[in-house]
Amino acid sequence: MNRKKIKSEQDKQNNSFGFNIKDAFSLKPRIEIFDNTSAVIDGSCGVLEYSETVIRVSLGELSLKLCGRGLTLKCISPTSLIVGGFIKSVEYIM
Amino acid sequence: MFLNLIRWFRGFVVFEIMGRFPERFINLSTRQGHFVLFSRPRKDNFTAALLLCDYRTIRPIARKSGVRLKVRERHGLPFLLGKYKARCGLLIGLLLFLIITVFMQSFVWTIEFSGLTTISQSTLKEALAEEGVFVGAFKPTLDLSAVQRKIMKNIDEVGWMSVNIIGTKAEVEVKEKELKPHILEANVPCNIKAGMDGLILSMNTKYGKAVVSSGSAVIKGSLLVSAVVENPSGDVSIVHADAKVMAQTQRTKSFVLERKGVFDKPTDEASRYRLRAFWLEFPITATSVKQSYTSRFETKSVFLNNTEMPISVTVEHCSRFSPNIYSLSQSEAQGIFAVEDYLYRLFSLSECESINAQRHYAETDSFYSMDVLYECEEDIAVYENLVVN
Repeated sequence: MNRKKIKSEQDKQNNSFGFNIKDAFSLKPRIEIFDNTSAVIDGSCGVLEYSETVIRVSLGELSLKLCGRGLTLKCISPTSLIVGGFIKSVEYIM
Repeated sequence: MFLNLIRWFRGFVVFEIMGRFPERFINLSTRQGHFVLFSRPRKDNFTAALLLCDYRTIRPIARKSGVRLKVRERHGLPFLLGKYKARCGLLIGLLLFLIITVFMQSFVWTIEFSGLTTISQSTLKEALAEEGVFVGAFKPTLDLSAVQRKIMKNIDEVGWMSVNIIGTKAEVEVKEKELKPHILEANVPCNIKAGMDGLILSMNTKYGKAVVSSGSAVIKGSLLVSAVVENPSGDVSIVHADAKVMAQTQRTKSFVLERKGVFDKPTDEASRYRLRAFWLEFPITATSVKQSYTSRFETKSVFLNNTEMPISVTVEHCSRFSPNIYSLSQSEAQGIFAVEDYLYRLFSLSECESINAQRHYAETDSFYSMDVLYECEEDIAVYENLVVN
Protein backbone atom coordinates (compact mmCIF):
# COMPACT_ATOMS: atom_id res chain seq x y z
CA MET A 1 0.00 0.00 0.00
CA ASN A 2 2.79 2.35 0.96
CA ARG A 3 4.72 1.46 -2.24
CA LYS A 4 1.69 2.24 -4.40
CA LYS A 5 1.36 5.66 -2.75
CA ILE A 6 5.03 6.46 -3.37
CA LYS A 7 4.73 5.41 -7.06
CA SER A 8 1.62 7.53 -7.64
CA GLU A 9 3.41 10.53 -6.19
CA GLN A 10 6.35 9.90 -8.50
CA ASP A 11 4.01 9.64 -11.48
CA LYS A 12 2.45 12.95 -10.57
CA GLN A 13 5.85 14.59 -10.49
CA ASN A 14 7.05 13.05 -13.80
CA ASN A 15 5.56 14.19 -17.07
CA SER A 16 5.28 12.16 -20.27
CA PHE A 17 8.94 12.87 -21.19
CA GLY A 18 10.09 11.08 -18.08
CA PHE A 19 11.79 13.91 -16.21
CA ASN A 20 10.87 15.62 -13.04
CA ILE A 21 9.03 18.91 -13.62
CA LYS A 22 10.11 20.15 -10.24
CA ASP A 23 13.75 19.76 -11.24
CA ALA A 24 13.22 21.56 -14.51
CA PHE A 25 12.04 24.71 -12.74
CA SER A 26 14.48 24.55 -9.83
CA LEU A 27 17.24 27.14 -9.48
CA LYS A 28 19.86 24.47 -9.02
CA PRO A 29 22.64 24.25 -11.63
CA ARG A 30 21.94 21.85 -14.45
CA ILE A 31 24.69 20.17 -16.43
CA GLU A 32 24.22 18.21 -19.63
CA ILE A 33 27.14 16.44 -21.22
CA PHE A 34 26.82 15.25 -24.84
CA ASP A 35 29.23 12.45 -25.54
CA ASN A 36 32.61 13.84 -24.60
CA THR A 37 32.56 16.72 -27.05
CA SER A 38 30.33 19.34 -25.45
CA ALA A 39 28.72 20.25 -22.17
CA VAL A 40 25.87 22.62 -21.46
CA ILE A 41 26.03 24.22 -18.05
CA ASP A 42 22.93 26.07 -16.93
CA GLY A 43 22.93 28.12 -13.75
CA SER A 44 26.57 29.10 -13.79
CA CYS A 45 27.81 32.13 -11.85
CA GLY A 46 30.88 32.82 -13.98
CA VAL A 47 34.05 31.40 -15.41
CA LEU A 48 36.81 31.00 -12.88
CA GLU A 49 39.50 29.51 -15.07
CA TYR A 50 39.71 29.24 -18.81
CA SER A 51 42.45 27.54 -20.75
CA GLU A 52 42.78 24.96 -23.49
CA THR A 53 43.03 22.15 -20.98
CA VAL A 54 40.92 23.31 -18.03
CA ILE A 55 37.67 25.21 -17.70
CA ARG A 56 36.49 25.92 -14.17
CA VAL A 57 32.98 27.26 -13.75
CA SER A 58 31.43 28.64 -10.59
CA LEU A 59 28.05 27.09 -9.77
CA GLY A 60 27.41 29.03 -6.61
CA GLU A 61 28.15 26.76 -3.65
CA LEU A 62 30.38 24.47 -5.68
CA SER A 63 32.46 24.76 -8.78
CA LEU A 64 32.77 22.48 -11.78
CA LYS A 65 36.10 21.65 -13.34
CA LEU A 66 36.21 20.25 -16.84
CA CYS A 67 39.53 18.89 -18.00
CA GLY A 68 40.41 17.91 -21.53
CA ARG A 69 42.09 19.29 -24.61
CA GLY A 70 41.10 22.02 -27.05
CA LEU A 71 38.41 23.26 -24.71
CA THR A 72 36.56 26.36 -25.76
CA LEU A 73 33.58 28.38 -24.60
CA LYS A 74 31.28 28.02 -27.59
CA CYS A 75 28.63 30.27 -26.18
CA ILE A 76 28.30 32.23 -22.99
CA SER A 77 25.49 34.11 -21.27
CA PRO A 78 25.20 35.43 -17.68
CA THR A 79 23.67 32.16 -16.43
CA SER A 80 24.71 29.50 -18.89
CA LEU A 81 27.53 28.45 -21.13
CA ILE A 82 28.41 25.76 -23.62
CA VAL A 83 31.80 24.14 -23.49
CA GLY A 84 33.17 22.49 -26.59
CA GLY A 85 36.26 20.35 -27.10
CA PHE A 86 37.49 16.91 -26.00
CA ILE A 87 36.35 16.47 -22.42
CA LYS A 88 38.40 14.00 -20.42
CA SER A 89 37.09 14.48 -16.91
CA VAL A 90 34.44 16.29 -14.90
CA GLU A 91 35.20 17.23 -11.33
CA TYR A 92 33.08 18.92 -8.66
CA ILE A 93 34.97 21.05 -6.19
CA MET A 94 33.23 21.90 -2.93
CA MET B 1 23.94 30.87 -41.08
CA PHE B 2 21.28 33.46 -40.26
CA LEU B 3 23.13 34.53 -37.12
CA ASN B 4 26.35 34.87 -39.07
CA LEU B 5 24.53 37.08 -41.58
CA ILE B 6 23.21 39.31 -38.80
CA ARG B 7 26.70 39.50 -37.30
CA TRP B 8 28.13 40.44 -40.68
CA PHE B 9 25.58 43.21 -41.15
CA ARG B 10 26.21 44.59 -37.67
CA GLY B 11 29.99 44.10 -37.93
CA PHE B 12 32.22 42.33 -35.44
CA VAL B 13 35.76 42.65 -34.15
CA VAL B 14 38.16 39.80 -33.36
CA PHE B 15 40.47 40.95 -30.63
CA GLU B 16 43.21 39.67 -28.33
CA ILE B 17 42.82 39.79 -24.55
CA MET B 18 46.11 40.20 -22.74
CA GLY B 19 46.39 40.46 -18.97
CA ARG B 20 46.06 38.69 -15.72
CA PHE B 21 42.32 38.10 -15.50
CA PRO B 22 40.81 37.40 -18.87
CA GLU B 23 38.15 35.23 -17.21
CA ARG B 24 36.99 38.20 -15.22
CA PHE B 25 36.75 40.23 -18.37
CA ILE B 26 34.56 37.54 -19.95
CA ASN B 27 32.34 37.34 -16.87
CA LEU B 28 31.92 41.10 -16.56
CA SER B 29 31.22 41.66 -20.22
CA THR B 30 28.70 38.80 -20.27
CA ARG B 31 26.89 40.19 -17.23
CA GLN B 32 26.64 43.58 -18.89
CA GLY B 33 25.01 41.98 -21.91
CA HIS B 34 28.05 42.01 -24.24
CA PHE B 35 28.23 38.43 -25.38
CA VAL B 36 31.72 37.33 -26.21
CA LEU B 37 31.83 35.22 -29.36
CA PHE B 38 34.36 32.66 -30.56
CA SER B 39 36.56 32.96 -27.50
CA ARG B 40 39.64 30.80 -27.73
CA PRO B 41 42.40 30.42 -25.17
CA ARG B 42 46.01 30.56 -26.39
CA LYS B 43 49.25 29.97 -24.56
CA ASP B 44 49.67 33.53 -23.28
CA ASN B 45 46.42 35.21 -24.14
CA PHE B 46 42.88 34.85 -25.46
CA THR B 47 41.21 35.71 -28.69
CA ALA B 48 37.56 36.57 -28.75
CA ALA B 49 35.06 38.43 -30.88
CA LEU B 50 32.45 41.01 -30.08
CA LEU B 51 29.87 42.86 -32.08
CA LEU B 52 31.12 46.28 -33.12
CA CYS B 53 28.53 48.13 -31.02
CA ASP B 54 29.56 46.08 -27.94
CA TYR B 55 33.27 46.54 -28.53
CA ARG B 56 32.93 50.32 -28.45
CA THR B 57 31.51 50.21 -24.89
CA ILE B 58 33.75 47.52 -23.48
CA ARG B 59 36.85 49.62 -22.60
CA PRO B 60 35.80 50.33 -18.98
CA ILE B 61 35.31 46.62 -18.36
CA ALA B 62 38.76 45.87 -19.75
CA ARG B 63 40.26 48.52 -17.50
CA LYS B 64 38.38 47.15 -14.50
CA SER B 65 39.50 43.56 -15.13
CA GLY B 66 43.08 44.62 -15.81
CA VAL B 67 43.36 43.37 -19.35
CA ARG B 68 44.49 45.01 -22.56
CA LEU B 69 42.59 44.54 -25.78
CA LYS B 70 44.17 44.52 -29.18
CA VAL B 71 42.11 44.35 -32.36
CA ARG B 72 43.27 41.63 -34.71
CA GLU B 73 40.56 41.43 -37.39
CA ARG B 74 37.57 43.47 -38.44
CA HIS B 75 34.64 41.94 -40.30
CA GLY B 76 31.24 43.02 -41.54
CA LEU B 77 29.36 45.67 -43.47
CA PRO B 78 30.25 48.74 -41.35
CA PHE B 79 33.95 48.14 -42.04
CA LEU B 80 33.28 47.54 -45.72
CA LEU B 81 31.38 50.80 -45.95
CA GLY B 82 34.08 52.55 -43.95
CA LYS B 83 36.65 51.28 -46.42
CA TYR B 84 34.81 52.97 -49.27
CA LYS B 85 33.86 56.08 -47.29
CA ALA B 86 36.29 58.17 -49.27
CA ARG B 87 34.78 56.85 -52.49
CA CYS B 88 31.19 57.87 -51.89
CA GLY B 89 30.76 58.22 -55.65
CA LEU B 90 30.62 54.45 -55.90
CA LEU B 91 27.70 54.31 -53.50
CA ILE B 92 25.95 57.18 -55.23
CA GLY B 93 26.53 55.45 -58.56
CA LEU B 94 25.07 52.22 -57.22
CA LEU B 95 22.02 54.01 -55.86
CA LEU B 96 21.57 55.92 -59.11
CA PHE B 97 21.88 52.70 -61.06
CA LEU B 98 19.17 51.06 -58.95
CA ILE B 99 16.88 54.10 -59.21
CA ILE B 100 17.38 54.43 -62.95
CA THR B 101 16.84 50.69 -63.47
CA VAL B 102 13.57 50.79 -61.57
CA PHE B 103 12.49 54.06 -63.20
CA MET B 104 13.29 52.94 -66.73
CA GLN B 105 11.07 49.91 -66.30
CA SER B 106 8.13 52.29 -66.42
CA PHE B 107 8.63 53.00 -70.11
CA VAL B 108 7.96 51.13 -73.32
CA TRP B 109 11.32 50.16 -74.78
CA THR B 110 10.34 48.26 -77.87
CA ILE B 111 7.24 47.50 -79.92
CA GLU B 112 6.91 44.12 -81.60
CA PHE B 113 4.30 43.34 -84.23
CA SER B 114 2.91 40.00 -85.22
CA GLY B 115 0.19 38.88 -87.61
CA LEU B 116 0.75 41.63 -90.20
CA THR B 117 0.36 40.54 -93.82
CA THR B 118 -1.19 43.36 -95.81
CA ILE B 119 -1.09 46.23 -93.32
CA SER B 120 2.29 47.89 -93.24
CA GLN B 121 4.13 48.04 -89.94
CA SER B 122 4.78 51.75 -90.30
CA THR B 123 1.05 52.46 -90.71
CA LEU B 124 0.25 50.63 -87.52
CA LYS B 125 3.21 52.22 -85.75
CA GLU B 126 1.94 55.68 -86.67
CA ALA B 127 -1.57 54.80 -85.53
CA LEU B 128 -0.22 53.51 -82.22
CA ALA B 129 1.91 56.62 -81.77
CA GLU B 130 -1.17 58.79 -82.26
CA GLU B 131 -2.86 56.89 -79.46
CA GLY B 132 0.19 57.25 -77.21
CA VAL B 133 1.90 53.89 -77.65
CA PHE B 134 5.41 54.60 -78.85
CA VAL B 135 8.98 53.85 -77.82
CA GLY B 136 9.50 55.85 -74.65
CA ALA B 137 5.81 56.02 -73.66
CA PHE B 138 5.13 56.08 -69.92
CA LYS B 139 3.44 52.75 -69.17
CA PRO B 140 1.13 53.75 -66.28
CA THR B 141 -0.62 56.37 -68.44
CA LEU B 142 -1.53 53.95 -71.23
CA ASP B 143 -5.11 52.82 -71.63
CA LEU B 144 -4.53 49.79 -73.79
CA SER B 145 -8.15 48.76 -74.27
CA ALA B 146 -8.99 52.26 -75.55
CA VAL B 147 -6.00 52.13 -77.90
CA GLN B 148 -7.16 48.78 -79.27
CA ARG B 149 -10.72 50.03 -79.78
CA LYS B 150 -9.64 53.22 -81.54
CA ILE B 151 -7.21 51.49 -83.89
CA MET B 152 -9.74 48.80 -84.79
CA LYS B 153 -12.20 51.59 -85.54
CA ASN B 154 -9.79 53.75 -87.55
CA ILE B 155 -8.03 51.09 -89.63
CA ASP B 156 -10.56 49.05 -91.58
CA GLU B 157 -8.15 46.24 -92.38
CA VAL B 158 -7.66 45.43 -88.71
CA GLY B 159 -10.15 42.78 -87.70
CA TRP B 160 -8.87 42.26 -84.17
CA MET B 161 -5.89 43.48 -82.29
CA SER B 162 -4.42 43.31 -78.84
CA VAL B 163 -1.66 45.34 -77.26
CA ASN B 164 0.06 43.61 -74.37
CA ILE B 165 2.84 45.18 -72.38
CA ILE B 166 5.21 42.54 -71.08
CA GLY B 167 7.98 44.13 -69.08
CA THR B 168 9.20 46.97 -71.22
CA LYS B 169 8.07 45.42 -74.50
CA ALA B 170 4.75 46.23 -76.16
CA GLU B 171 3.56 43.22 -78.12
CA VAL B 172 1.02 44.11 -80.78
CA GLU B 173 -0.89 41.17 -82.14
CA VAL B 174 -3.06 41.82 -85.15
CA LYS B 175 -5.58 39.69 -86.96
CA GLU B 176 -6.43 41.21 -90.27
CA LYS B 177 -9.92 41.19 -91.73
CA GLU B 178 -10.69 38.51 -94.27
CA LEU B 179 -11.44 40.10 -97.64
CA LYS B 180 -14.96 39.66 -98.85
CA PRO B 181 -14.94 37.02 -101.64
CA HIS B 182 -16.18 38.02 -105.08
CA ILE B 183 -19.77 36.89 -105.22
CA LEU B 184 -21.24 36.44 -108.61
CA GLU B 185 -24.41 38.44 -108.96
CA ALA B 186 -26.37 35.63 -110.43
CA ASN B 187 -29.63 37.61 -110.53
CA VAL B 188 -28.27 40.29 -112.85
CA PRO B 189 -28.37 39.09 -116.48
CA CYS B 190 -25.24 39.85 -118.46
CA ASN B 191 -23.48 38.95 -121.68
CA ILE B 192 -19.82 38.17 -122.11
CA LYS B 193 -17.94 40.21 -124.67
CA ALA B 194 -14.36 40.19 -125.89
CA GLY B 195 -12.12 42.50 -123.93
CA MET B 196 -9.61 42.70 -126.76
CA ASP B 197 -8.84 41.34 -130.21
CA GLY B 198 -7.68 37.75 -130.33
CA LEU B 199 -7.98 34.19 -131.50
CA ILE B 200 -10.13 31.96 -129.31
CA LEU B 201 -8.17 29.00 -128.01
CA SER B 202 -10.65 27.44 -125.62
CA MET B 203 -14.05 28.20 -124.11
CA ASN B 204 -15.41 26.96 -120.83
CA THR B 205 -19.02 28.12 -120.64
CA LYS B 206 -20.84 27.64 -117.35
CA TYR B 207 -23.96 29.71 -117.96
CA GLY B 208 -25.26 31.25 -121.16
CA LYS B 209 -25.04 30.31 -124.80
CA ALA B 210 -21.62 30.36 -126.53
CA VAL B 211 -21.81 32.40 -129.72
CA VAL B 212 -18.26 31.73 -130.92
CA SER B 213 -16.20 28.58 -130.83
CA SER B 214 -12.54 27.68 -130.52
CA GLY B 215 -10.50 28.86 -133.48
CA SER B 216 -12.69 31.91 -134.08
CA ALA B 217 -11.06 35.30 -134.42
CA VAL B 218 -12.80 38.04 -132.46
CA ILE B 219 -12.39 41.75 -132.16
CA LYS B 220 -12.78 43.86 -129.06
CA GLY B 221 -16.47 44.14 -128.12
CA SER B 222 -17.61 41.01 -129.98
CA LEU B 223 -20.28 38.96 -128.24
CA LEU B 224 -18.78 35.73 -126.96
CA VAL B 225 -21.45 34.27 -124.69
CA SER B 226 -25.08 35.35 -124.85
CA ALA B 227 -27.29 35.68 -121.79
CA VAL B 228 -30.37 34.66 -123.79
CA VAL B 229 -30.79 30.91 -123.56
CA GLU B 230 -33.44 28.93 -125.38
CA ASN B 231 -34.67 25.83 -123.57
CA PRO B 232 -35.38 22.57 -125.42
CA SER B 233 -39.07 23.27 -124.86
CA GLY B 234 -38.74 26.51 -126.80
CA ASP B 235 -38.91 28.89 -123.82
CA VAL B 236 -36.41 31.72 -123.67
CA SER B 237 -34.73 32.72 -120.42
CA ILE B 238 -32.18 35.38 -119.59
CA VAL B 239 -29.29 34.26 -117.39
CA HIS B 240 -26.11 35.65 -115.93
CA ALA B 241 -23.55 34.37 -118.42
CA ASP B 242 -20.35 32.99 -116.98
CA ALA B 243 -17.44 31.60 -118.99
CA LYS B 244 -13.69 31.48 -119.22
CA VAL B 245 -12.59 32.40 -122.70
CA MET B 246 -8.91 31.83 -123.36
CA ALA B 247 -7.58 33.59 -126.42
CA GLN B 248 -4.30 34.33 -128.06
CA THR B 249 -3.81 38.07 -128.07
CA GLN B 250 -1.13 40.43 -129.26
CA ARG B 251 0.14 43.56 -127.59
CA THR B 252 2.83 45.92 -128.69
CA LYS B 253 4.93 48.12 -126.50
CA SER B 254 7.60 50.61 -127.44
CA PHE B 255 10.43 51.63 -125.17
CA VAL B 256 12.43 54.71 -126.03
CA LEU B 257 15.65 56.07 -124.53
CA GLU B 258 17.53 59.24 -125.37
CA ARG B 259 21.14 58.76 -126.45
CA LYS B 260 22.25 61.85 -124.58
CA GLY B 261 20.47 63.54 -121.75
CA VAL B 262 20.72 65.28 -118.48
CA PHE B 263 20.18 63.69 -115.12
CA ASP B 264 20.68 64.83 -111.55
CA LYS B 265 23.78 63.27 -110.05
CA PRO B 266 24.42 63.40 -106.33
CA THR B 267 27.53 65.43 -105.58
CA ASP B 268 29.09 66.87 -102.47
CA GLU B 269 27.80 64.13 -100.16
CA ALA B 270 27.94 64.43 -96.39
CA SER B 271 26.70 62.28 -93.49
CA ARG B 272 25.25 63.39 -90.20
CA TYR B 273 24.72 61.06 -87.24
CA ARG B 274 22.04 61.38 -84.63
CA LEU B 275 21.60 59.26 -81.52
CA ARG B 276 18.12 58.46 -80.37
CA ALA B 277 17.45 57.07 -76.89
CA PHE B 278 13.77 56.66 -76.07
CA TRP B 279 12.19 59.96 -77.05
CA LEU B 280 15.43 61.93 -76.86
CA GLU B 281 17.30 62.62 -80.06
CA PHE B 282 20.49 64.58 -80.32
CA PRO B 283 23.24 64.97 -82.92
CA ILE B 284 26.56 63.19 -82.53
CA THR B 285 28.42 64.92 -85.33
CA ALA B 286 28.50 68.63 -86.01
CA THR B 287 28.35 68.53 -89.81
CA SER B 288 26.58 71.54 -91.24
CA VAL B 289 24.45 71.02 -94.32
CA LYS B 290 22.79 73.64 -96.50
CA GLN B 291 19.06 73.64 -97.00
CA SER B 292 19.36 72.90 -100.70
CA TYR B 293 20.68 69.44 -99.93
CA THR B 294 18.50 66.37 -100.21
CA SER B 295 18.55 63.98 -97.30
CA ARG B 296 18.18 60.24 -97.05
CA PHE B 297 17.77 58.70 -93.61
CA GLU B 298 19.04 55.34 -92.47
CA THR B 299 18.27 54.08 -88.96
CA LYS B 300 20.25 51.37 -87.23
CA SER B 301 18.82 50.03 -83.97
CA VAL B 302 20.78 48.37 -81.21
CA PHE B 303 19.85 44.72 -80.61
CA LEU B 304 20.56 42.78 -77.46
CA ASN B 305 19.68 39.07 -77.43
CA ASN B 306 17.59 39.58 -80.58
CA THR B 307 15.59 42.23 -78.76
CA GLU B 308 15.46 45.71 -80.17
CA MET B 309 16.67 48.29 -77.70
CA PRO B 310 15.24 51.81 -77.59
CA ILE B 311 18.60 53.13 -78.72
CA SER B 312 19.25 53.80 -82.38
CA VAL B 313 21.63 55.73 -84.56
CA THR B 314 20.18 57.61 -87.49
CA VAL B 315 22.50 58.38 -90.36
CA GLU B 316 21.42 61.26 -92.55
CA HIS B 317 23.03 61.02 -95.96
CA CYS B 318 22.91 64.53 -97.37
CA SER B 319 23.73 65.17 -100.97
CA ARG B 320 23.37 67.95 -103.44
CA PHE B 321 22.09 67.00 -106.89
CA SER B 322 23.62 68.73 -109.85
CA PRO B 323 22.70 68.22 -113.51
CA ASN B 324 25.03 65.86 -115.30
CA ILE B 325 25.12 65.01 -119.02
CA TYR B 326 25.13 61.34 -119.86
CA SER B 327 25.68 59.43 -123.07
CA LEU B 328 24.29 55.93 -123.42
CA SER B 329 26.03 53.18 -125.38
CA GLN B 330 24.05 50.52 -127.23
CA SER B 331 24.79 47.80 -124.68
CA GLU B 332 23.79 50.10 -121.82
CA ALA B 333 20.54 50.93 -123.60
CA GLN B 334 19.80 47.24 -124.15
CA GLY B 335 20.38 46.58 -120.47
CA ILE B 336 17.90 49.30 -119.51
CA PHE B 337 15.39 47.98 -122.07
CA ALA B 338 15.68 44.49 -120.57
CA VAL B 339 14.84 45.84 -117.14
CA GLU B 340 11.91 47.88 -118.44
CA ASP B 341 10.64 44.86 -120.39
CA TYR B 342 10.81 42.71 -117.27
CA LEU B 343 8.91 45.31 -115.23
CA TYR B 344 6.23 45.66 -117.92
CA ARG B 345 5.67 41.87 -117.96
CA LEU B 346 5.61 41.78 -114.19
CA PHE B 347 3.07 44.53 -113.64
CA SER B 348 1.06 44.91 -116.87
CA LEU B 349 0.95 41.33 -118.16
CA SER B 350 0.60 39.61 -114.80
CA GLU B 351 -2.71 37.97 -115.75
CA CYS B 352 -1.42 36.40 -118.96
CA GLU B 353 -0.69 32.69 -118.71
CA SER B 354 2.11 32.47 -121.28
CA ILE B 355 3.98 35.18 -123.05
CA ASN B 356 6.05 35.03 -126.18
CA ALA B 357 7.95 38.20 -126.99
CA GLN B 358 9.53 39.39 -130.24
CA ARG B 359 11.91 42.31 -129.78
CA HIS B 360 13.04 44.73 -132.43
CA TYR B 361 15.78 47.24 -131.65
CA ALA B 362 16.29 50.43 -133.59
CA GLU B 363 18.43 53.50 -133.15
CA THR B 364 18.53 57.01 -134.56
CA ASP B 365 20.93 59.89 -133.98
CA SER B 366 19.16 60.90 -130.82
CA PHE B 367 17.21 57.83 -129.64
CA TYR B 368 17.42 54.12 -128.96
CA SER B 369 14.13 52.31 -129.24
CA MET B 370 12.83 48.81 -128.66
CA ASP B 371 9.49 47.59 -130.03
CA VAL B 372 8.22 44.43 -128.45
CA LEU B 373 5.39 42.27 -129.71
CA TYR B 374 3.96 40.18 -126.92
CA GLU B 375 1.88 37.12 -127.85
CA CYS B 376 -0.13 36.20 -124.81
CA GLU B 377 -2.70 33.65 -123.75
CA GLU B 378 -5.28 35.25 -121.54
CA ASP B 379 -8.90 35.32 -120.52
CA ILE B 380 -10.57 38.00 -122.64
CA ALA B 381 -14.08 37.63 -121.18
CA VAL B 382 -15.61 40.92 -120.11
CA TYR B 383 -19.01 40.96 -118.38
CA GLU B 384 -21.51 43.46 -119.66
CA ASN B 385 -24.86 43.84 -118.01
CA LEU B 386 -27.84 43.26 -120.24
CA VAL B 387 -30.18 46.20 -120.32
CA VAL B 388 -33.72 45.29 -121.29
CA ASN B 389 -35.82 48.29 -122.36
